[in-house]
Amino acid sequence: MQFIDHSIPLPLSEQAPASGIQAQADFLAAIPLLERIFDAIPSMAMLLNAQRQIVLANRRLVEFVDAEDASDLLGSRSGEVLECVNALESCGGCGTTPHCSVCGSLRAIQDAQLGYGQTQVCLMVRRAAGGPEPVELEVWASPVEISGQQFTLVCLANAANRVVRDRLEHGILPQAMALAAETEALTRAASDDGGTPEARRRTLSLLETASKRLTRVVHAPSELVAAEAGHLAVTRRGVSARELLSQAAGDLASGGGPEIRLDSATEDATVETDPDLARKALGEILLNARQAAPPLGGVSAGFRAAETHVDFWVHNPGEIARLVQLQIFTRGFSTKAPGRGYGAYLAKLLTERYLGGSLTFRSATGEGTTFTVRLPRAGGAEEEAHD
Amino acid sequence: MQLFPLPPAKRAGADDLEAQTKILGAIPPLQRILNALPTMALVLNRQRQVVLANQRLVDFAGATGIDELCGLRPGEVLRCIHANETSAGCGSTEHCTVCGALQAIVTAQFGVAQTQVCRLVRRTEAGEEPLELEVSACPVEVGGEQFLIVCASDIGGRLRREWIEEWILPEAVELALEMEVLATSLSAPGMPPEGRQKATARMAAASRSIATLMREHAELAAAESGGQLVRKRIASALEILRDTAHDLEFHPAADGRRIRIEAQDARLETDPVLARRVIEKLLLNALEATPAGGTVTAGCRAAAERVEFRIHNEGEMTREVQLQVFRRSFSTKGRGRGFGTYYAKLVAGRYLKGTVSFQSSAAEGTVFSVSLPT
Repeated sequence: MQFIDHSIPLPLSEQAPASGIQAQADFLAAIPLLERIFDAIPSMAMLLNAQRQIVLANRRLVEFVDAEDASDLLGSRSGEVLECVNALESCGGCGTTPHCSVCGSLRAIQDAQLGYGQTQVCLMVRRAAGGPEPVELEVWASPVEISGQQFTLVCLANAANRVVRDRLEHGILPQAMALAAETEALTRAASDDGGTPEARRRTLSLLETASKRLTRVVHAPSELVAAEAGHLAVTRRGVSARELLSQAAGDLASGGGPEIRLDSATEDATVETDPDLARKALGEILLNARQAAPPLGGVSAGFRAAETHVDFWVHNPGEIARLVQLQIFTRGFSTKAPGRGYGAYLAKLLTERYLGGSLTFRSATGEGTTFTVRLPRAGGAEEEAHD
Repeated sequence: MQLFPLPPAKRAGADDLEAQTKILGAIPPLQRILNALPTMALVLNRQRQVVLANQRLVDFAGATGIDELCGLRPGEVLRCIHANETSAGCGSTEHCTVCGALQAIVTAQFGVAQTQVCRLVRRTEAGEEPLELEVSACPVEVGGEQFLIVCASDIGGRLRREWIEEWILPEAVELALEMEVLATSLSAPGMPPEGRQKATARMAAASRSIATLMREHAELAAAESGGQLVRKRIASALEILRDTAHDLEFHPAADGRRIRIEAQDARLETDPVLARRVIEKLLLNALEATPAGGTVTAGCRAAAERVEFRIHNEGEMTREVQLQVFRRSFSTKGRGRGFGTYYAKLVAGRYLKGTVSFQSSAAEGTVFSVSLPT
């Protein structure tokens, strides 16, 4: 899987006048069979003019974006039609925000306009009725001349198969295989009657932990699907902030790696939350920080209590490049290896969608990077529900 | 894929083809758009012959230009192993009755766009190679003539994802949950020694099953790429059979079913690890075809310079299943299945220099035979 690894200069945002768009559309409509051929294409397809505006869209695209007619899409840009959150949030539209400098679609289209056919993966977040919805698109763009005029043909297909397969093949399967080998060795040790009772207890406790981790690993993909679909049950209760953080750090300890320094000076506070989900969200952020930190570690974590909420902070001395910052919560985006890039995404999903909190980060040279998971204190959740 | 009647084999003459090429040549954007598509694309005439093809297809077929493909049928262009079986070519064999591409094409000729999955085996320089295509066919009328625009994209990746997500991982989740429960029960005070023994035996089996499941995917990839190592030694056929059956004892597919071994021992020089994997896939296949309470019978015997393993279950495979049973990702068991028999045949043939075949009838049930050189 290839991701954008350097940002691109943004193109001009100037649009063709409406009359020009209509003229181009009429010109294309007059070409016999063009529409029919377009509808025969088995993926979403569109023709763009030099200003990257749609002048022809096929049936599949019209159906995907739930438009009434292809003419509704004329003059729009691809991100606007697909309801990319970045395109809809800025007044300049698709191709004008800082996020667009790392957009795979835009890159493919710009290269095609220079004459090179291109394929890119676009990790888009779409605005949907149930909240923002990530979608991985494979974008092919290629220059095409039609009756003397130059256009860009763009085809879009769902790239989730590739992205998800990478995750499963390179992430989940090898991890689970290693854990299964561990449980088998521990089982063998546990059935050996020679050891002292103390050693046996230790083996059994390790075996229990390893079995639990194994379940978590093989369950992770379907759990992510359930989390995205809004199917996770939330059971809130009062939990000690200190305990929550130390448990999340403890989950990680068995996986090896440098120690995480927990700030213990702060007075404990109670958060009103689902402890399992909160622990998972914190765990992902801690793991992320530990992987981003230099080899000797240097990750620290703690919390700060305010009147309505508790902020859990996780700090590591490394700085995140601007390019990565723009994509850090994007599903499937990773600088580490294929098959990674779900931790920060899942943590944000759990914190914001299920726990009524927020997940943010700050990164600067000399300061390192701090992620903050904000969870409501007792009573805080109810207040938010009234909003 | 159902059996369906084969279409007429008659082809258009050279004059007709030339006229059709001219008709399509009069629409210049057609060729350009087809070339800009991310999939292989072609235009067929009423006789299912190629009149136009895009550059991706020309490249994939290893041709120098469209002229080389003009007049051929899709299976001939893609070098389907069945396309040259009869003189009538693509669309004329019994295998064509279960071909997704042919079904999409024939149906689209009635006027409605169609999409089907086609599991084909191609003949390449490196040997036979499976390819799963999603084939969509869409009718268009140009200059009073009927044509089909056909696009084909490789969906091998999607099928592998389904395999992992809908089969491998759910199986592993069940095993892992069972292990969690067993691990907790082991730590509980006062468990009698025999209970402990049983629990640890089951845990060890579950760990191995999970490891096997997790390996399956990488193993298939290695076998397909030719990277599978073969370590031959003298082995006992009976031992291979017994060890494999023993490992399946706690397998969910074996629940309530029995594996009976009826064998004379025979010696052979082979890679016993790979041989066990082949036998395992066929035993699992037989167990899954057997109702609870039923028995799968496995045996082996020596023949001239070969050892033959036989795996039997009651029940008959329908003709359409028989025609596709070794196709990668073909299964009657739902999404994410269909890699076992394919893997068995691949490994037995390519690495162990043997064969896998089957016989199936209502009276005799189904027997898969693995014949390996001694």
